[in-house]
Amino acid sequence: MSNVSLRLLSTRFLLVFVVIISISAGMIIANGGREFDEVSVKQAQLAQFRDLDGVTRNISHWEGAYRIVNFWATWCPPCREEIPLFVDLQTEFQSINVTFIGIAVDDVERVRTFVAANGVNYPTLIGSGDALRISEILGNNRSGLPYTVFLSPTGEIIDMHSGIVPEAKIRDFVAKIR
Amino acid sequence: MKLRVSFAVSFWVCCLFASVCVAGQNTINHKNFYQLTGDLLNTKMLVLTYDIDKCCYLYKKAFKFEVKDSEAVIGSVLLPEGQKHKDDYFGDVEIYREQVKITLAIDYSRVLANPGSLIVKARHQGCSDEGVCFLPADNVLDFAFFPGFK
Repeated sequence: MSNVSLRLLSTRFLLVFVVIISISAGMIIANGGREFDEVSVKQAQLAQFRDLDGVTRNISHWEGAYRIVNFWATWCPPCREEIPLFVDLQTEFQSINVTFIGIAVDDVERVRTFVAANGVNYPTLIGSGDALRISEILGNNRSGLPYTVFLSPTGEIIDMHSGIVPEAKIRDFVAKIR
Repeated sequence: MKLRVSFAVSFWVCCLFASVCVAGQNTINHKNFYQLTGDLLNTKMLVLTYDIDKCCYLYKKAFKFEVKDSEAVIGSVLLPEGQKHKDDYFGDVEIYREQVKITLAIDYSRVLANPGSLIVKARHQGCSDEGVCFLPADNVLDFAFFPGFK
C-alpha cells in the first residue's frame, strides 16, 4: 500500500473516531449525567399497583423475565395506537423470556373496557399520578405518555422510549437477548 | 497544517453540538411547553394567556377553571375558536397552537370592601405532534387587588 493510501486510510479512521467520540460526549452532556440511580430504579419496581382483578402487584413480580413496561392511558391517542402491536408481539414472543407489562395512568373501568376490546394478552396494572412518578424515576423525563422502558431480568434499565415505540426497536431489543 | 487543525476542531465542535441537540430533545419536560400568564383587567375580568411551544397543542375541551379561597365565582369563560383536529379518542375536537387568550368573567358574592386576592386554578391538557400526551396539569395564579380597583 502506498504512503498516500495509508495516509488517506488513517485520516478516514480518525474522522470516524472523532464522530463516535463526539456523539458519545454530546449524549452524555445533553442528558445531564442522566445515569440512573440503581436503588431508586429498583425501589420504583416495588411500587404497588392493582391489576384488573384488584390483586396488588409490582413490576418486580415478573423479575427473571426481560420486561417491556409500557405506561399508557385510554385518553392518550398514541398510547391506544401502539397497543395492538404489543398484543401481536406478546403472542410472538411467548416462547422466549420476554413479557410486556402495561401500567395505565387511568380509571380502572375505562382500562377494563379497552383491554377487553383490544384483547390485551399481557398483565395490566392501574395507577394514577403515582404511576407517572414511577415512570419518571424510570427515565420518563418528559412526564408524558406513552412511555416504555425495557428492563433486564434483574431490573436494570436497558433502553427506554418516549412516544410510540417503533416496532424495529422492540425487535432489536429481542434480537439482542435471544 | 494550521488550516487542517482548525478544520478538525470545527468539525469536532459541530459534531458535539449536533449530538447535544439530538440527545437534548428527550430532556425537555412538558412544563416548559405550556406557559400561563394572567392579567386581571379589573375586578370582574381576567384574561389568561397560554403560550404554547411549537411542538405541542392544547385541547379546548380540557380547560377547567376555578376560583379558590375567595368570595368570587367564575361567571363565564370565553374561549376563542380553535383549530379543527381529528382525534382517535376525543373525535372531532378543537385545539390551540402557539397562543390562546381566555377571558374569564368574575362574579362576587358581596361588595368588595377590603383588599383581597383572587386565586385562580387553571387546568389544561395537551399533546405533542410527535405523539406524546400529557396528563391534565394545573396552574395556580394569585392576583392581589384593592377596593379602589374596578
